[in-house]
Formats: sequence, C-alpha cells, structure tokens
Amino acid sequence: MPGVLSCRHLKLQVPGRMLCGDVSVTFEPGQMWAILGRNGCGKTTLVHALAGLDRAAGAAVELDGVVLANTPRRRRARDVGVLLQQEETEFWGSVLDYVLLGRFPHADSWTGFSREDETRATQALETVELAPLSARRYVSLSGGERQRARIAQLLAQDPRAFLLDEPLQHLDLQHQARVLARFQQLVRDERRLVAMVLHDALWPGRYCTHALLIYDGGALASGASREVLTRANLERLYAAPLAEVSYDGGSYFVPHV
Amino acid sequence: MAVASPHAVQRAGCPPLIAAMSRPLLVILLSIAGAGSIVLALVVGTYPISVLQVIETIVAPAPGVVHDVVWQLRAPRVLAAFACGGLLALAGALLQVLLRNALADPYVLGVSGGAALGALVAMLLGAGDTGVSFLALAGALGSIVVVFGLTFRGGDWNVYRLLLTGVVLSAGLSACVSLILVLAPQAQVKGMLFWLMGDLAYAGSPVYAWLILAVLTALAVAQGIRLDLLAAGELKALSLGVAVTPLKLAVFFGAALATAAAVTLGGAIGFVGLMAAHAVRLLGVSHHRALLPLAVLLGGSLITLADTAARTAWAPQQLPVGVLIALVGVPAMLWLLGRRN
Repeated sequence: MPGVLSCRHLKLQVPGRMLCGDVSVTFEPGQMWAILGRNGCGKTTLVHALAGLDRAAGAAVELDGVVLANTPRRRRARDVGVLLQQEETEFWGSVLDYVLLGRFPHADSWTGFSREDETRATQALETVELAPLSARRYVSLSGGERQRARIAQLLAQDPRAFLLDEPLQHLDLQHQARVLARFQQLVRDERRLVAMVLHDALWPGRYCTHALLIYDGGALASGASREVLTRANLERLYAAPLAEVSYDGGSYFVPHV
Repeated sequence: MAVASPHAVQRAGCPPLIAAMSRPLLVILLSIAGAGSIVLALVVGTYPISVLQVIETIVAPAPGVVHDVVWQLRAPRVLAAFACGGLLALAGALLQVLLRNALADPYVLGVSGGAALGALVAMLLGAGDTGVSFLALAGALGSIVVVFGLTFRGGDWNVYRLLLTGVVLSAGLSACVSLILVLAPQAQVKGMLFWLMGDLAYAGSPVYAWLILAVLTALAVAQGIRLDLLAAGELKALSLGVAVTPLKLAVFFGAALATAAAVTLGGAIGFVGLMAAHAVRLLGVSHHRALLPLAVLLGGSLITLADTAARTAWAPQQLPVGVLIALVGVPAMLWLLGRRN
C-alpha cells in the first residue's frame, strides 16, 4: 500500500504576500522529513496545503496520484493526519474524550465510537505516557501534557502520512526523544510517511532521512539529509553561525555563539 | 471581543460539580423534571384540579370541565412554554459551538431584534395575535437572511464577522424598537413591553414549535460527534474529515430557525438560551450527544415552571415570564458557579 504525498508547483502564500512561488516535492512512505526554515517562511502554510486544509492549494497536492482535494474527507483523514501547531479553542471534555476525537475518521458516525476506538485511544495515551491522566479534564493539563495529548490524538487517528507542525513544542528533552523515536518506529517498521516542521538544527540530523529547507525569498533545498543538512546550507537558512559537532559517527550542528 | 472558552469556568481543572452523578441518572432526573413540570403546570391554576385528575384526563380523556380546562385552556400554553424553553436552550447551545463563544445566546445574531420589530409594528398597526405572530416570524426570518447575506463568503465563513454583524444589527433593531415604544400610543405600550420581556399569554398553537424542536434536536444529536469536533476547532474538525462549512451552515440555520420559532411563540424570553447549556456542562456533561437533549429538557422545564408562576403567583395579574425566569434563574446560576470554588 503506497502513500506517496506530492506537491507540484504549489504556491505558498498568505493574504497579501507570496512566500514561495513553486514547491515541488515528493514525500514517500518510509521517509522521515524535516521541514526547516525561519519564522514566517511558509512552513505551516505548506503543512496545511499537504494536509488538504488549504483550499487555495487546489490541485497542486496529490496522494498516490489523486488530487487530495478530490478525496472524500473522511478517507483523506484516514490517509493524511496533521498535528496542528495551534489549537483554536479549548477542549472541554476529558483527556480520553479528546484523544478519541482522533478516531472520528474510522468511527461509524451514527453509532459513535466503538470499543476498538476506545482501545486505540487508550493505547495512544499509553504511548505518550498520559494514561494515568486519561480521566482528567483536558484544560487541566500543562502545556507539555497537552502537546502529548495532541500527539496521542494523531496516533489514534492512525493515518498513513503524518504531517507534524512543530511536534516538539513544549516537550521536555525526554519526551522530545520519545516522540521522535515513536515516529521513527512508524516510518521504519510500518513504512509510514512522516514530515515535520522543526526549529532545531540537532534533531533533524539524528532522526530524519530527508530534509526540505525553505530559504527566505522562497528558494528551496530538498533531498536526503546527508546532502541537504550541511553547515553551509543551515548557516544560510538561519543566517546564524553554526558549529559542527561529531557524535556517534554523524555530524550535527549547534549554534556558534 | 475576547474569545471566551465555553468552559473557561472550568479552567482551574476542578472536578465537575457532581462527579459521581452518572449520565443516565442525569437523563432520568431531567426527564422527570420535564414531565413533572408539565403536569404541575397543568394542575396549578384558578380552577382546582388534582394531579390524579390531570393524569386521568391525559391517559383517558373523558368530556367534562376538567378535560376542557386541561386540554383547551392550560395545555396549549404549557406546551408552548416547554417548546419555547427547549428551542431557546438548543439554539443557545448550538450558537456557543458555532461562534466558539461562551457568551453566545439565541439573540446574539439579531433574530429576536427582527422578531421584536415585526411584532411591535404589527401591534402598532392594530393587528391581532395572528398578525403579531406572523410579522414576528417575518422579522426573525428577515434578520436571519440579512446576517447571512452580509457575512457568508463561500468556504471562508468567518464566525467573528458573523458575531459582530449580528451584534451590530441587533443594536440597530433595538434602536428601531425603542423608537416605536416612544412614538406608540400609551395604551399599546404595555402590551409591547410584555412582548419584549417575554410573555406566553398570547402564544399560538405550539404544534409547529414542538415539531421543529423534535426534528432539530434529533438532527443535532445525530451530528453530536461532529459538533464535538467543531467545538474543538474548525481546522481540527476539517483535518479529521468533518465537512465544516456545511455543518456550520446547518448549525446557523438550525439555531436561527429554533430562535425564530421560540420568539414567535413567547417573545424575547432571555436567560434560558444563554444558561441552559452552561448549567448542563457544570453538571459534568460535555458530549453534545448528551448535552443537547439535556439542555432542551432543562430549558423546557425552567420556562414551564416560570410561566406557571407567572400566571398564578400574582393572579389575576399576569407577570411576564421572562422577568420571572431571570429572577429565579440568576441566583440559581450564580450558586452553581460559586459552588465550584
């Protein structure tokens, strides 16, 4: 079962501003992508377009050769899942209720969530180590716990392609590593696709097979991490000097201050 | 306008007020309250009738004075009261989801302003009860069309523009209403004020209101999970496969129709539409599948009881039900809110 997500000549724009005139990238199953760029360069706009949430993207985004905008909504939600950067509002039920919403694309919309949906939601909560808090109100969680609940909701959604907009925000170091390891496992063992926006020069080299850099002005660099995540590229990307550190057979970059 | 979460009151994360009260128990209790309020309202009145007589005439109607009093005098008004409360509670709960605002009530989009203008114009022209109802309905539907026409822009339907347009339109309509009150002959002003405060004395047949209430509640419950998702955010709902724009349209027109039906029947009765859903949430229910019918039962019972008091407490003088409901409801709600800390 493939699950190739691609965009052809996709324009990234926000009202009144063109961010990038032509994004053409193919994301394949078994790949873990880092999407990097400075603030306001269009990373979130790209994630929304790839997730089929941006009507303006239109026919530019395809899943397995079918225009995403033409896919029935619930099927699309079973194929492509997105971790949004921001929640628009507060959820007023329990943590388990919140994670259960992720099962909507799989649930029977008349009879509601099944026992299996609840099992999947509970498993997802265990994965992010929130099971003990499942009966708590979502609004009573801390920022990091909420982020883990949101990741659990996406895991419960169980899509073929995961699009993550800043998945590590609010997470402590331990949970950052666990979340990345979990997604790496999904990519390696189940050949899922993961593409994530990160604000970190260290994690991409450690976990991502591929990287997409969006430079200011709309230029792009994409390809295998080894080729794209170079010191020269990253210094140009962030307009900041970086220092290279070698660890465990790989090269990583940290801010040089 | 600040974005208020419908559950801002629970931000502190304390457990629900009655954590141990299970949902089935709540359903049973509120169903009993609903049926009980209707029976009580049929019992209480100038002509003495016992509870047994009322139940007897409901179960096995036999011709007689009791039958006439219950079925012809009291039942239409009691049923109108219940339908009014249910419709307002449903409309308020739906608009709180659509506008993602805890302060949304059925009148926030200008529906009651339109209805009020229609009703007062009808009174000014000396129209009868039917004419008043008809113009109130026309005014309500007219303001729905205006708000929708001014705000709907295809797929990008901004709920804040919707909210602000409704508030602005309401202000304009309420200015027109004030103008009519100032210019109207003294003899008509009292009737107008009663209408504005909410009054069921001249309510028409409640059949259509009950029909609308039943259909809308069933539809809303069927869409309950989608409403939960919409309440969690439009983008979230969209990403999980909900057809967000059609759902928002359905919620808007459902809430507008419920409000129009309620104000046509009983005038602009306040408070219930704002607070019924909040009261149910404070009792620990957040799923719309359960929340909506419970709010309908609560709203219906409240207005039925308040209207019973309105027509008997000061008899033969009648009080506007809207005033009574606020007098009773406000302390109750303040107590419920205060208990949380």
